Amino acid sequence: MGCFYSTEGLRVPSREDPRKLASQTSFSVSEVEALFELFKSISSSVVDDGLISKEEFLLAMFKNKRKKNLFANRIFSLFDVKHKGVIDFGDFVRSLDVFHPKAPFEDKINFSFKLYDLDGTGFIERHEVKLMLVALLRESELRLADETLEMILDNTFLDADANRDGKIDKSEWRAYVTKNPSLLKIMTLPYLRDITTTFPSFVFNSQVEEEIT
Amino acid sequence: MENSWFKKGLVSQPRKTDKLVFASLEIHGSLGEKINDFKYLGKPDNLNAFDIISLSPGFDLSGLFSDDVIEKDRVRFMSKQSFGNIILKLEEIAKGLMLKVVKIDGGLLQMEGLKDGKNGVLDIKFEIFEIATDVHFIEAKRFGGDNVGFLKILNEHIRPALMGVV
Repeated sequence: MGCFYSTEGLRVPSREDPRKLASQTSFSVSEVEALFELFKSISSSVVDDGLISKEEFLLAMFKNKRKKNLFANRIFSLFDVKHKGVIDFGDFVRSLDVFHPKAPFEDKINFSFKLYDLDGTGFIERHEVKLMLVALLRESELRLADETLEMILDNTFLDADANRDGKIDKSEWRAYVTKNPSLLKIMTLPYLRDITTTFPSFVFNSQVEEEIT
Repeated sequence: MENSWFKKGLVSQPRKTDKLVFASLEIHGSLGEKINDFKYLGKPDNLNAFDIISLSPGFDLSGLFSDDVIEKDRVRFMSKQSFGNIILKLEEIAKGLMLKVVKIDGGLLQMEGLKDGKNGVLDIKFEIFEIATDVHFIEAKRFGGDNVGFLKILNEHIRPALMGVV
């Protein structure tokens, strides 16, 4: 992915067949087409190469390509499925699909677990949760006493760390979010159910090739 | 749970459970007319670390889909006061500013302006989360009205009343 073909002198990123992507995800073909328009606009904003770089991702999210945000960085890392430092169109659609209201809960469990497992050890460790808590507070220009932080962590791990080993493994995470599904509310974007009507501004160019049968 | 709501003319019996106090309250205007009649559900949610973490705008992918510059229509701060006091102060401030408190449910409170501005009527929603005993995290989001008015109310009235050293 990421190679080019010339169409009327314009550089257009190649892409996986939208019908294939639609069949693998909860998106319809026309929604995949609409996502392609969005992808084109994001991926060309800094360097026109048909791929979304970290800068372009941050620019799209925050309108600021130098924004520092731990969580947006984590999302980017997970969207960068092949660990190439860039997101191609297939990665983009398949990753967004996890946030679709119709995506399987198990996919959301897996994605969120990887999101919070900052160092990729296969466990969400206490020090990682503390780091994320501190990062969130700092973003909001708020501070909490260390002992309050420790208390929050104690309460959280009391609930989530069933075997009391100081870290949350995948099965503990699964049990925890199943019991508390609101913890995964960040994993669902309701407007993905209807992107062509909710966000009409990027559909203007959408060329759905109607199948003539 | 001692709470000064109950001194304001409680009309129905509160039903107390471990986590919730359910009460109905009438608020009367200066002329004695009834302004609002709404139900309170007591204690706001207790947050765990992941609830707090998920408040980050870094998880909000809607920016990818929209061209609009993200305005500062959201303010977060902490208050080292009890939930009851926070609600009371918000109500007092709203009354002083001629804003209607429309709904209170769990940890949610809405303030609505009475005059139509260029962006519609000012509409602010407050979500109050308990982080530790009497330590609350408050998020104020603007849904209607303009940012200038919103930020003015937050910075000149609400934050000074609710914030202290945490």
